[in-house]
Amino acid sequence: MDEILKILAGSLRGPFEKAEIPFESLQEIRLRAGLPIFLRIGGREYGLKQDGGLAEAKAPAAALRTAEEQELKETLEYAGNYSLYAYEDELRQGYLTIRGGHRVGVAGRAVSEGGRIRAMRFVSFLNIRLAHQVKGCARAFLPWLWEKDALQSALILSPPGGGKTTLLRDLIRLISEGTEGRPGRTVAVADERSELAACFRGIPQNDLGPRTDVMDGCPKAEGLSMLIRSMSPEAAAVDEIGGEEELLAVRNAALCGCRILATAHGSSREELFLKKGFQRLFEEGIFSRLVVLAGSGHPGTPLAVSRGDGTLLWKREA
Amino acid sequence: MWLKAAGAACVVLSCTAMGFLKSLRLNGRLRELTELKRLLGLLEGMIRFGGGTLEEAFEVAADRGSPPYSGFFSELAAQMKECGGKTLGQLWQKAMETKLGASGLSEDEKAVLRTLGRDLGFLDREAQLKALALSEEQLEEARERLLEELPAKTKLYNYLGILAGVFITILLI
Repeated sequence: MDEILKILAGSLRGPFEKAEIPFESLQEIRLRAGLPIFLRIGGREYGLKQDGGLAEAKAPAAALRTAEEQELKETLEYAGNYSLYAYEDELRQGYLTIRGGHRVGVAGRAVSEGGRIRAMRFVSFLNIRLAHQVKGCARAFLPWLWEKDALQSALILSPPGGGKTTLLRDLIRLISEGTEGRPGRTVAVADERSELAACFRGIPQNDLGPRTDVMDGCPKAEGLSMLIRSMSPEAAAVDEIGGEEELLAVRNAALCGCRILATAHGSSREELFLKKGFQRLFEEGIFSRLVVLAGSGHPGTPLAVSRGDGTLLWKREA
Repeated sequence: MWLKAAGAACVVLSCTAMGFLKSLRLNGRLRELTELKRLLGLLEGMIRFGGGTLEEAFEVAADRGSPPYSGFFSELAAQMKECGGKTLGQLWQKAMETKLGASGLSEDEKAVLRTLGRDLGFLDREAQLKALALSEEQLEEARERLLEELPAKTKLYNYLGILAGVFITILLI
């Protein structure tokens, strides 16, 4: 919890400390200028009371602690380690990743130029999303990703907040470490947003296994190509693919003989195929497994695993 | 008689030493300005090309700098790491008070440094670089002025010291 307290404005630290929030199940802290502070703990929403305790989210707004504009500004300054200029590229995409792999989403006034966002000004909404490494969460469905002794390329699908990054992180660790009867494989991770490895000065803070190489802070497509060239991995992992360039890089990596472990936003196969480029990746056999997660109500819980052609391999019992 | 002579010698010597000390301080101030400007240039380079955070840049400046600025930047980096709920402007101000108390910089030059502390941190890269460039420019102007005045002022302080000693001695005798 300390690493989260450290990024909060000085005046917010007291109420948060008093609230005795269980860090392990804390998922989100939402700060909005002039509005009540809300927290998501174990899938439920709570408000922060004026005196620091936790209140039901439906409690009257007057009883809840509001976040002031100055507090948001200060929080952003601490989250950016007093160096927001170093996070310009990330901020343009609406977030910044802090030590520990936690992500601070920002919204406010965007300054655009020529149709592209140049900078963020007057940030008045912050969403601090906590990254938790849940070791072992991918173990149950890992056997479905193997066809005899061959690892299959898999895409993990879930809506935002569904735990796909947590699952992918554990998958990388298990494949890199090796499991019963299956020796560890070399895994390369293109970690553009520093969420998977949570690198600090290039060194992973999360455990991704002993055979994992990480390209941190590099655009996914470029990172993937560089890793294939330089680290000759047996599997490559990348989080939240979607752009045309990223899908092309994934395809190229797979055609080099590398297995791909990736995640994407979506809640079903049909929904995914509405997005440009994904259907083709499955038709070409680039991905031979699709793992669909349950969603934000049950983060990190797989609902179903299917083959690339849609044949169901496993489904969670209702 | 001998006692008077010894007293007079002491007065002249101490006044002369004071004059020399004053001119030495001027030279020290020039060295400080040169060093500070060099370190700000280093910070600018790290922000422009290094892509790292200010904390990392300050650590490098602390390693490569000489006192009192090595101590100043080292203190700043340590405080930033601790992240005790203070803004960079506040940390900068505090580090100036604790580490640059004995600095030979003039009040105007210290004001340039204070302003830089307020401007860093919550700005985009371009604005950050401009703030550093402006401070460097102001410090360079101060350095050039000092460099121009230095020979005359050094002489002045040295002679003034000796003459003041002689004058006080005459008055006392």
